Amino acid sequence: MELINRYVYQVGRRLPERTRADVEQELRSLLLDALEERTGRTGDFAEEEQVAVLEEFGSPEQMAGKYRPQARYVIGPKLYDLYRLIVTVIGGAGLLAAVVTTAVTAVGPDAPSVLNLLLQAWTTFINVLLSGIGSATLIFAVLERVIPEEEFELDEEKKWNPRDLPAIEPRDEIKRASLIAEIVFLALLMTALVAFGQRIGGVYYDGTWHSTPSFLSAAFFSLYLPLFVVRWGLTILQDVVLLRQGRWQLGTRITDLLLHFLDIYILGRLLGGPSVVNAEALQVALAGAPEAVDVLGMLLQRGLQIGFLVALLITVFEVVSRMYQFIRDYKLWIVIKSKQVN
Amino acid sequence: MIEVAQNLISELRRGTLVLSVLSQLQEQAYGYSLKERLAERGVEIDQGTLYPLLRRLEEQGLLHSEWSLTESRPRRYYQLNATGQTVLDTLAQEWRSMVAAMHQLLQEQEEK
Repeated sequence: MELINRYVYQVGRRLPERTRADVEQELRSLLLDALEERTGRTGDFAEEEQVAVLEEFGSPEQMAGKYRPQARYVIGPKLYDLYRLIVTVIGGAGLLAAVVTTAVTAVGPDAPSVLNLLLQAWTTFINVLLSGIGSATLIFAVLERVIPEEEFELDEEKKWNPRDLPAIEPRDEIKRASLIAEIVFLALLMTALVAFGQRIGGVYYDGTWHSTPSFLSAAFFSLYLPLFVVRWGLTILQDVVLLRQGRWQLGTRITDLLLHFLDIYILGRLLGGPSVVNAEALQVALAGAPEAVDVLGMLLQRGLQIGFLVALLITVFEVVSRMYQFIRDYKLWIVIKSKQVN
Repeated sequence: MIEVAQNLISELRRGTLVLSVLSQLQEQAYGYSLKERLAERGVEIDQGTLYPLLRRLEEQGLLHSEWSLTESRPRRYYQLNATGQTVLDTLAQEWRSMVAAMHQLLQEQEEK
């Protein structure tokens, strides 16, 4: 049943969420009807039997294309997958443009405030996205009306082989409990840091109990905390969308990638910017051993920098692997391959 | 030449699909049983074409459908509704007049 499951999944992921579950259920039922009719059995179907039935049904792209509502599309099912791929690439290019221009501005002599930098990144991203998607839509809408339908059908029919169906990837599934826990945790963390961050310090005793100033520096509150709040706020927003959608989709994958680029920016600022640790708090806390202040302060600062650097490297690796997944999921390799052939 | 003829025949058949399907849905049927019913009467339709077509006809308000949970697996049954019946009658009438006209045209061509 593995090929049947893969087929139903591949058709379903190309359909609007509104009808997906219903169509998937019906399609599975119809495929089993066809298998039973062909084999005379009610289960335990061999791979060849599944292949034969799936070939009769047609490729997932064709099947999904026929299930999609026709009238409302500027770009029809035949071109839709390629269009989606191009839009993803444009989204990636927009992100890259936003990150590069913002990074260049940030390290320049007249670096604006964090808020202005974020605004600039956002504007660049939206500009690239709108002009790119607008042009792509226009071109595809024209192609849709110019290229005869038979041109697509012949190619697709030749390529379709049920044995090539990709495995169902659990990456698309979400873990509701984890998302809810993340939302609650981040909301509490944000509230705690914004409302009580200034009070996160130590206590010491010199005959009476005293509390130190906050261990977190002024730079943490003015430079980094706004970035954290934006980052965590966007994560919560994304988690809510995921809970509503029930699984990862193209849009949420793009926003997730965007958030990872934001992580790279934040970690870069943390690495190159002022310390998050309040040296004054250390001096107060270690008043009895002043020689330890410098050593401990240095160790703490180095430890944090190493931590930020490791996190930065992990995030860059994550971004690269997610971009690779994009290329694989949306068949960018077909474009690359066809260029090689040409 | 043969390929051109095949394409034209496919196009001709495509034009009759909706009428064929509607004509067999005065009684309830699920996808596969409808395919079999049509095949028994000499009308072969690809499954990849028939099942999405049923959905579209339902969205156009011509069919009513419901899930049946009483069999070995859930099945979605389709049947003509009142609008579908009216549309079927109209299409059938149009079909008969087209057949008569075509018959006339082809007969004249054969006599030449």
